Amino acid sequence: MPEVKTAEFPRLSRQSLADPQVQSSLRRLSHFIEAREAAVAEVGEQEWQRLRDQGRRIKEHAIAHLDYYLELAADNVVKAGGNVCFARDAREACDYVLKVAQARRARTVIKSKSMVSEETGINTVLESHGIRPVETDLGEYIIQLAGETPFHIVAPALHKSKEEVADLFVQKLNVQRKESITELTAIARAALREIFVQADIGMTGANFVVAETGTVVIVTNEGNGRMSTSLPRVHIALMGMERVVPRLEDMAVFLRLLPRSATGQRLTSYTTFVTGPRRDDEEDGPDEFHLVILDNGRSRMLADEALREALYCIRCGAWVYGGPIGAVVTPILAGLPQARHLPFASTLCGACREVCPVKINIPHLLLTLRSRVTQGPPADRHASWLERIAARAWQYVVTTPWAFGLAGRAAAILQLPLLRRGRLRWLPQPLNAWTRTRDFPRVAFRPFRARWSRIADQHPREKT
Amino acid sequence: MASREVFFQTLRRALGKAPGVDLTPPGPDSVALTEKASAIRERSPATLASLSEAFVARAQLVGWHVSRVPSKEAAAAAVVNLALARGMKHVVRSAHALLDRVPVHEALASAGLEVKVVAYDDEDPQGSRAALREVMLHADAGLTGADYAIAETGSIVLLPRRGVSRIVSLLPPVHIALVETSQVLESLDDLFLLRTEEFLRTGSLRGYMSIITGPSRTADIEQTLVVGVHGPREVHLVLIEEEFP
Ligand code: SF4
Repeated sequence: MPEVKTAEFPRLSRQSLADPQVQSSLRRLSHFIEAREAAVAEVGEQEWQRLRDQGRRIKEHAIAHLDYYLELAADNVVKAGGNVCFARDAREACDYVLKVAQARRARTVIKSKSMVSEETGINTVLESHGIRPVETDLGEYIIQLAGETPFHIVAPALHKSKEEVADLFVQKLNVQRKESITELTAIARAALREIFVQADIGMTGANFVVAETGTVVIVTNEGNGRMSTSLPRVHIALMGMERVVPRLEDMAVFLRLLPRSATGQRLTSYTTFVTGPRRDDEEDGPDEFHLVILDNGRSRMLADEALREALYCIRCGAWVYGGPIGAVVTPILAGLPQARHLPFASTLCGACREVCPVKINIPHLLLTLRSRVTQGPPADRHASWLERIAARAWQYVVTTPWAFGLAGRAAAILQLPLLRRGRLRWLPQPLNAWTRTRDFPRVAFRPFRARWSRIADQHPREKT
Repeated sequence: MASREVFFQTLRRALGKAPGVDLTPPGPDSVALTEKASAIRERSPATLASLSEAFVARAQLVGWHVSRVPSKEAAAAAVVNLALARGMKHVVRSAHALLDRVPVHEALASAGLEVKVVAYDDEDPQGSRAALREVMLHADAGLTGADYAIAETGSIVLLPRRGVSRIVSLLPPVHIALVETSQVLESLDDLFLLRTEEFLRTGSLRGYMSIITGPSRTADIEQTLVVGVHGPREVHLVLIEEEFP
């Protein structure tokens, strides 16, 4: 099992939200949101809804008949001259990749962004056998050079300023210091080119896999997907088993939904369709092609009526992975205990449901998980005795009118020293769990019940 | 394959299904497909002209530099002008059929550029492939044709095969693509329809297809857009609009 960073989520998220670089980056991410809105507006609201419904229906059908479509996809890959591995868990997937790599005496594996490779922890496995995995997505390359793991999968290098990247390149690549983002990108291009041309294996994810033809579809903007599938002698594609779509023509729907939802583009720069290895008469391309199909907990989600929907997710643009849907998928894939904090990290405002290109009811999924965590076996719970006593006390106060009234007055007075411009920006332990990352509105001085009786008096006829 | 069986056992249990196929999926209607495919192939010049307008507008938005030329000779001249303006010395090109009909190779050579065709040698496929890759890595531009263009998205489509490399359009810093109006499709739907029709007719799909939509780009450092990461930073389209094709 890979190391699950999610267990550290509360501490890490506290750290990173306090980081001014992260704060300004999160603000910049709102550009994506604006671009997305513009891209959707251009299609027209009605057409967009039609596309979402269509995407949703295709996914429902494909997942309901997943066994059929996976076999069809696998058979077609083999017909095209490729190899298929069915991996029940991360270990089986890693074993297979390692076996292929060792058989080819591979020393370097170049990787184009893949969620499944993160999920399986393949990098660690390869490294421990003396094989060097190199991330080629610019953001992930930076993170890998820095020796970090992409905690903010939203945009892997979100928390790095260009000055930090400049320092990192000087230190690790032995180059002259350059500060402009264009020059920094050029440095990375040159460094990665050298690795691309000598790499033995190209490893990619799969945004979609078309069952009818056995085709892996990879969507990228940088071009690393094309490099990884054209230069090395071996191409290994890793897919979560829910990625399969029945027909090639379905891609017209998903290619309209995915880039618009992710980055607000009409289409990403490169959409690559790989069907088996290079054909005999082709000019270039790998001699060998492998498709690894991973279960790793997905069948558990499939069996669970309440969670099955999460498998319709098309990870609209890699950068959303750490967002709400990651909170659903990760706990199940990792097994609840390690990832138990994630479903609680979203404010459940429902905005994600509105934008989801395949209409997944994300708030509902999160609530389902939350109730599992709180009602689950003790290991899944994380309430301390203090929290439990507090919960009891709260229950008493809110169900006992005199206590509620008194508590309200008390809170209104106690808050006075803490009020800043009408809001509570800091609360003492343990209430600071709320104010660490958001403000709390001030407690009303005149409780609602008092105001209500007055309002009711003034408008007697509207009384109900 | 034991592990495959176990995998599907678990999967079918999760789906609540008995083993075996219980689904006859709505197979593509190949008669209708063939009809639609021929309708696409027989579009009128007027339709093509309006699709070209839409294509050009969209292509410019996604970052292509577009020149529209009235003839093959004018196309060759446009490429030469571009190469000279950029001070290029080495150009690689694919052996796309269109590039044999457009006198661009000769034009570039007589303007003093070195032009290399990317097509491996039957005598020594391994060695010639390696040598060609070296040449591509150091070329100033890659020149290709296109198999389709898509008006909806401003993309071109390449179907690699003998003479059509996957990477002539990827490795050099500048990509120049020649397109004819007859190649412009209306939408992604049309593209996948034609590909599916070929798949059903021939029983197999080619190994690779690239849909290319503008230059290579990233926003990974400080969410600032930069072009030219692993692929080209500058991309040109020369659209040949002949009166009587
Ligand atoms: S659940 Fe989230 S990431 Fe998945 S498709 Fe919907 S919006 Fe995109």
